[in-house]
Amino acid sequence: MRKEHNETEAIENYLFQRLSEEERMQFEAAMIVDTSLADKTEAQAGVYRLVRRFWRRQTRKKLERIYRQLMMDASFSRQFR
Amino acid sequence: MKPSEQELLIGIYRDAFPAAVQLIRRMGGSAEEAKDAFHDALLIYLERNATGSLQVRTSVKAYLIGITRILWLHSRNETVTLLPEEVESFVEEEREEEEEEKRLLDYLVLAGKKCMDILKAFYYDRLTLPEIAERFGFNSIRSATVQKHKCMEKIRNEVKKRNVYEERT
Repeated sequence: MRKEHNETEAIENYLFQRLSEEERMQFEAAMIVDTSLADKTEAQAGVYRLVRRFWRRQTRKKLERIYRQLMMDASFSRQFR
Repeated sequence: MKPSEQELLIGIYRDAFPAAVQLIRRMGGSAEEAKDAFHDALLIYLERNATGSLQVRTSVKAYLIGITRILWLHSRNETVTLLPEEVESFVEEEREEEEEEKRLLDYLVLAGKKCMDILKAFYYDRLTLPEIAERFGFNSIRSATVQKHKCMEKIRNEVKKRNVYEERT
Protein backbone atom coordinates (compact mmCIF):
# COMPACT_ATOMS: atom_id res chain seq x y z
CA MET A 1 0.00 0.00 0.00
CA ARG A 2 2.73 2.39 1.02
CA LYS A 3 4.61 1.90 -2.22
CA GLU A 4 1.48 2.48 -4.24
CA HIS A 5 0.86 5.79 -2.47
CA ASN A 6 4.39 6.95 -3.12
CA GLU A 7 3.81 6.21 -6.77
CA THR A 8 0.60 8.25 -6.83
CA GLU A 9 2.48 11.10 -5.23
CA ALA A 10 5.33 10.80 -7.74
CA ILE A 11 2.88 10.89 -10.65
CA GLU A 12 1.25 13.96 -9.16
CA ASN A 13 4.57 15.72 -8.80
CA TYR A 14 5.39 14.88 -12.40
CA LEU A 15 2.04 16.06 -13.76
CA PHE A 16 2.09 19.24 -11.69
CA GLN A 17 5.62 19.92 -12.90
CA ARG A 18 7.09 19.95 -9.45
CA LEU A 19 10.13 17.87 -10.36
CA SER A 20 13.64 19.06 -11.07
CA GLU A 21 14.96 18.55 -14.57
CA GLU A 22 16.86 15.48 -13.44
CA GLU A 23 13.89 13.96 -11.64
CA ARG A 24 11.68 14.62 -14.61
CA MET A 25 14.05 12.78 -16.93
CA GLN A 26 14.23 9.89 -14.48
CA PHE A 27 10.46 9.70 -14.34
CA GLU A 28 10.10 9.75 -18.09
CA ALA A 29 12.73 7.02 -18.41
CA ALA A 30 10.83 4.96 -15.84
CA MET A 31 7.65 5.33 -17.90
CA ILE A 32 9.40 3.93 -20.95
CA VAL A 33 10.57 0.88 -19.03
CA ASP A 34 7.35 0.38 -17.09
CA THR A 35 4.32 0.79 -19.32
CA SER A 36 1.95 0.34 -16.40
CA LEU A 37 3.46 3.51 -14.90
CA ALA A 38 2.82 5.29 -18.19
CA ASP A 39 -0.80 4.07 -18.18
CA LYS A 40 -1.31 5.18 -14.60
CA THR A 41 0.15 8.58 -15.35
CA GLU A 42 -2.19 9.03 -18.29
CA ALA A 43 -5.20 7.91 -16.25
CA GLN A 44 -4.23 10.12 -13.31
CA ALA A 45 -4.11 13.14 -15.64
CA GLY A 46 -7.66 12.12 -16.52
CA VAL A 47 -8.63 12.15 -12.84
CA TYR A 48 -7.52 15.76 -12.45
CA ARG A 49 -9.64 16.69 -15.44
CA LEU A 50 -12.65 14.88 -14.02
CA VAL A 51 -12.24 16.56 -10.65
CA ARG A 52 -12.06 19.90 -12.47
CA ARG A 53 -15.27 19.13 -14.37
CA PHE A 54 -16.92 18.00 -11.16
CA TRP A 55 -15.87 21.23 -9.46
CA ARG A 56 -17.14 23.31 -12.40
CA ARG A 57 -20.50 21.54 -12.39
CA GLN A 58 -20.98 22.14 -8.70
CA THR A 59 -19.75 25.71 -8.85
CA ARG A 60 -22.12 26.49 -11.74
CA LYS A 61 -25.01 25.28 -9.60
CA LYS A 62 -23.79 27.38 -6.71
CA LEU A 63 -23.60 30.47 -8.95
CA GLU A 64 -27.15 29.87 -10.16
CA ARG A 65 -28.30 29.79 -6.55
CA ILE A 66 -26.48 33.03 -5.78
CA TYR A 67 -28.03 34.62 -8.89
CA ARG A 68 -31.55 33.63 -7.87
CA GLN A 69 -30.95 34.78 -4.32
CA LEU A 70 -29.61 38.18 -5.39
CA MET A 71 -32.37 38.73 -7.94
CA MET A 72 -34.89 38.70 -5.14
CA ASP A 73 -33.16 41.74 -3.73
CA ALA A 74 -34.55 44.81 -5.52
CA SER A 75 -31.55 46.98 -4.74
CA PHE A 76 -29.50 44.53 -6.78
CA SER A 77 -31.77 43.81 -9.70
CA ARG A 78 -32.88 47.38 -10.35
CA GLN A 79 -29.31 48.28 -11.26
CA PHE A 80 -29.77 46.62 -14.61
CA ARG A 81 -33.48 46.27 -15.12
CA MET B 1 -16.06 25.77 1.63
CA LYS B 2 -15.60 28.03 4.60
CA PRO B 3 -18.65 30.23 5.23
CA SER B 4 -16.65 33.41 4.71
CA GLU B 5 -15.66 32.19 1.26
CA GLN B 6 -19.28 31.91 0.26
CA GLU B 7 -19.91 35.43 1.52
CA LEU B 8 -16.88 36.65 -0.37
CA LEU B 9 -18.24 35.12 -3.55
CA ILE B 10 -21.64 36.73 -3.07
CA GLY B 11 -19.88 40.05 -2.47
CA ILE B 12 -17.92 39.77 -5.71
CA TYR B 13 -21.09 38.78 -7.54
CA ARG B 14 -23.06 41.68 -6.14
CA ASP B 15 -20.28 44.07 -7.00
CA ALA B 16 -19.48 43.01 -10.57
CA PHE B 17 -22.59 41.48 -12.09
CA PRO B 18 -24.70 44.64 -12.67
CA ALA B 19 -21.88 46.29 -14.59
CA ALA B 20 -21.31 43.14 -16.62
CA VAL B 21 -24.99 43.00 -17.64
CA GLN B 22 -24.98 46.67 -18.58
CA LEU B 23 -21.93 46.19 -20.74
CA ILE B 24 -23.29 43.14 -22.58
CA ARG B 25 -26.61 44.91 -23.10
CA ARG B 26 -24.84 47.92 -24.61
CA MET B 27 -23.10 45.54 -26.98
CA GLY B 28 -26.44 44.09 -28.05
CA GLY B 29 -26.64 40.98 -25.89
CA SER B 30 -29.32 39.79 -23.50
CA ALA B 31 -29.24 39.59 -19.72
CA GLU B 32 -29.33 35.81 -19.97
CA GLU B 33 -26.25 35.77 -22.20
CA ALA B 34 -24.54 38.14 -19.82
CA LYS B 35 -25.26 35.80 -16.94
CA ASP B 36 -23.85 32.78 -18.77
CA ALA B 37 -20.69 34.62 -19.75
CA PHE B 38 -20.35 36.09 -16.27
CA HIS B 39 -20.63 32.67 -14.65
CA ASP B 40 -17.95 31.30 -16.91
CA ALA B 41 -15.76 34.29 -16.09
CA LEU B 42 -16.27 33.59 -12.40
CA LEU B 43 -15.36 29.93 -12.95
CA ILE B 44 -12.13 30.97 -14.60
CA TYR B 45 -11.39 33.41 -11.82
CA LEU B 46 -12.16 30.95 -9.00
CA GLU B 47 -10.30 28.12 -10.66
CA ARG B 48 -7.21 30.18 -11.23
CA ASN B 49 -7.44 31.50 -7.72
CA ALA B 50 -7.69 27.98 -6.28
CA THR B 51 -4.69 26.73 -8.21
CA GLY B 52 -2.66 29.82 -7.48
CA SER B 53 -2.20 30.76 -11.11
CA LEU B 54 -4.17 33.95 -11.22
CA GLN B 55 -2.79 37.22 -12.44
CA VAL B 56 -5.11 40.07 -11.78
CA ARG B 57 -3.42 43.29 -12.62
CA THR B 58 -6.44 45.44 -11.92
CA SER B 59 -9.39 44.87 -9.57
CA VAL B 60 -11.30 41.61 -9.43
CA LYS B 61 -14.34 43.47 -10.73
CA ALA B 62 -12.51 44.84 -13.75
CA TYR B 63 -11.00 41.43 -14.40
CA LEU B 64 -14.38 39.70 -14.35
CA ILE B 65 -16.02 42.27 -16.58
CA GLY B 66 -13.15 42.04 -19.05
CA ILE B 67 -13.34 38.24 -19.17
CA THR B 68 -17.15 38.33 -19.45
CA ARG B 69 -16.87 40.61 -22.45
CA ILE B 70 -14.32 38.36 -24.15
CA LEU B 71 -16.36 35.22 -23.46
CA TRP B 72 -19.51 36.82 -24.78
CA LEU B 73 -17.80 38.01 -27.96
CA HIS B 74 -16.32 34.57 -28.38
CA SER B 75 -19.72 32.91 -27.98
CA ARG B 76 -20.96 35.06 -30.84
CA ASN B 77 -18.07 33.93 -32.99
CA GLU B 78 -16.71 37.43 -33.09
CA THR B 79 -13.01 37.50 -33.53
CA VAL B 80 -11.18 38.36 -30.42
CA THR B 81 -7.72 39.07 -31.64
CA LEU B 82 -5.81 37.79 -28.69
CA LEU B 83 -7.62 35.39 -26.41
CA PRO B 84 -6.03 35.45 -22.96
CA GLU B 85 -4.46 32.12 -22.09
CA GLU B 86 -6.91 31.32 -19.30
CA VAL B 87 -9.90 31.99 -21.56
CA GLU B 88 -8.47 29.97 -24.39
CA SER B 89 -7.81 26.87 -22.31
CA PHE B 90 -11.22 27.16 -20.67
CA VAL B 91 -13.30 27.42 -23.86
CA GLU B 92 -11.21 24.75 -25.48
CA GLU B 93 -11.72 22.30 -22.66
CA GLU B 94 -15.43 23.03 -22.44
CA ARG B 95 -15.79 22.46 -26.17
CA GLU B 96 -14.00 19.15 -26.21
CA GLU B 97 -15.88 17.61 -23.31
CA GLU B 98 -17.01 14.29 -24.67
CA GLU B 99 -20.09 12.24 -24.02
CA GLU B 100 -18.03 9.42 -22.61
CA GLU B 101 -16.42 11.76 -20.13
CA LYS B 102 -19.79 13.14 -19.06
CA ARG B 103 -21.10 9.64 -18.54
CA LEU B 104 -18.08 8.69 -16.47
CA LEU B 105 -18.54 11.76 -14.30
CA ASP B 106 -22.25 11.01 -13.88
CA TYR B 107 -21.33 7.50 -12.86
CA LEU B 108 -18.69 8.66 -10.40
CA VAL B 109 -21.04 11.14 -8.80
CA LEU B 110 -23.27 8.18 -8.03
CA ALA B 111 -20.74 5.48 -7.26
CA GLY B 112 -17.82 7.45 -5.91
CA LYS B 113 -19.28 10.68 -4.64
CA LYS B 114 -17.30 10.70 -1.43
CA CYS B 115 -14.04 10.26 -3.28
CA MET B 116 -14.90 12.99 -5.75
CA ASP B 117 -15.78 15.26 -2.84
CA ILE B 118 -12.50 14.50 -1.08
CA LEU B 119 -10.44 15.14 -4.19
CA LYS B 120 -12.36 18.31 -4.94
CA ALA B 121 -11.88 19.52 -1.38
CA PHE B 122 -8.20 18.84 -1.69
CA TYR B 123 -7.50 20.38 -5.09
CA TYR B 124 -10.13 23.11 -5.38
CA ASP B 125 -11.39 24.10 -1.97
CA ARG B 126 -7.77 24.04 -0.94
CA LEU B 127 -8.56 22.46 2.39
CA THR B 128 -5.60 21.37 4.47
CA LEU B 129 -5.32 17.76 5.61
CA PRO B 130 -6.58 18.54 9.14
CA GLU B 131 -9.57 20.35 7.60
CA ILE B 132 -10.25 17.41 5.31
CA ALA B 133 -10.00 15.01 8.26
CA GLU B 134 -12.51 17.11 10.14
CA ARG B 135 -14.96 17.60 7.30
CA PHE B 136 -15.03 13.95 6.26
CA GLY B 137 -14.79 12.52 9.74
CA PHE B 138 -11.35 10.89 9.62
CA ASN B 139 -9.75 10.54 12.98
CA SER B 140 -6.26 11.58 11.95
CA ILE B 141 -4.32 13.50 9.35
CA ARG B 142 -2.69 10.26 8.38
CA SER B 143 -5.97 8.60 7.56
CA ALA B 144 -6.97 11.66 5.53
CA THR B 145 -3.77 11.28 3.51
CA VAL B 146 -4.32 7.57 3.03
CA GLN B 147 -7.91 8.18 1.98
CA LYS B 148 -6.93 10.82 -0.53
CA HIS B 149 -4.47 8.41 -2.14
CA LYS B 150 -6.97 5.57 -2.13
CA CYS B 151 -9.50 7.81 -3.82
CA MET B 152 -6.99 8.88 -6.42
CA GLU B 153 -6.23 5.25 -7.17
CA LYS B 154 -9.87 4.23 -7.24
CA ILE B 155 -10.91 6.93 -9.68
CA ARG B 156 -7.76 6.39 -11.71
CA ASN B 157 -8.72 2.74 -12.17
CA GLU B 158 -12.15 3.79 -13.37
CA VAL B 159 -10.57 6.11 -15.90
CA LYS B 160 -8.21 3.37 -17.02
CA LYS B 161 -11.04 0.87 -17.37
CA ARG B 162 -12.97 3.15 -19.65
CA ASN B 163 -10.05 4.39 -21.68
CA VAL B 164 -11.67 7.80 -21.73
CA TYR B 165 -8.43 9.56 -22.28
CA GLU B 166 -6.67 7.02 -24.38
CA GLU B 167 -5.25 8.05 -27.73
CA ARG B 168 -5.75 11.62 -26.82
CA THR B 169 -3.10 13.39 -24.84
